Amino acid sequence: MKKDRSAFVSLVSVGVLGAVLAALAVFAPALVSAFIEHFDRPERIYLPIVVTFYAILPFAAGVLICLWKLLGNILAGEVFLPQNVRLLRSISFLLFFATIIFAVAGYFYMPFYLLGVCAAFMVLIVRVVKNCFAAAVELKEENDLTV
Amino acid sequence: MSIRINLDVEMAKKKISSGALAEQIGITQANLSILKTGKAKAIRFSTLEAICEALGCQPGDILEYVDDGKE
Repeated sequence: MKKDRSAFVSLVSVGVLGAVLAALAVFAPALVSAFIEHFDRPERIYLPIVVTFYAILPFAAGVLICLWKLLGNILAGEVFLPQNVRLLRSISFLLFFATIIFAVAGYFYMPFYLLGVCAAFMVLIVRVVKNCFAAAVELKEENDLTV
Repeated sequence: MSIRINLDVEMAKKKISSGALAEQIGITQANLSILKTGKAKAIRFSTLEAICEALGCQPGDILEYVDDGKE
């Protein structure tokens, strides 16, 4: 029951983050302009930030969709499924592509390098979790096929 | 697979249905089907014991090693 609540909270968080992402997609140019003006940054960083944000957007949305499906399966009591392993693999690939985008964007605006490093660490973490899931799926299958 | 399950042969010899055997040994018909079709990855000693008791046979009558050339 407590586990269900925890997964539900995660699911709601994914939903909230999705809504935030959608709002950012609409207001990103205005927010970046406000950021540049407020922190007195050079105008030339406007374009790299906005372009990077919109380049990252599909990958971020993809990660949220995968997480939504994963948490839905977990809430349905189906944790160690091959489908969940595939979802985790997809998340790691999406994060990997995001890392590449950040690495390229870092050339135009240095702080993106930092985000790239963070994304790279997340790729590694998700891959390790995926490997654990894959091992657990095998164990479950063996257990299910033990008569 | 190099272990062949001859459960259906023994069942036919004893003229016992899947449902009756499943009930006697205390497993579901679905699990018995997994065993009969060779999809099972392992069999518990307790299940093997129950099958041997129900069919009046030895484990070797049910399980057979076949050299299929795979390592």
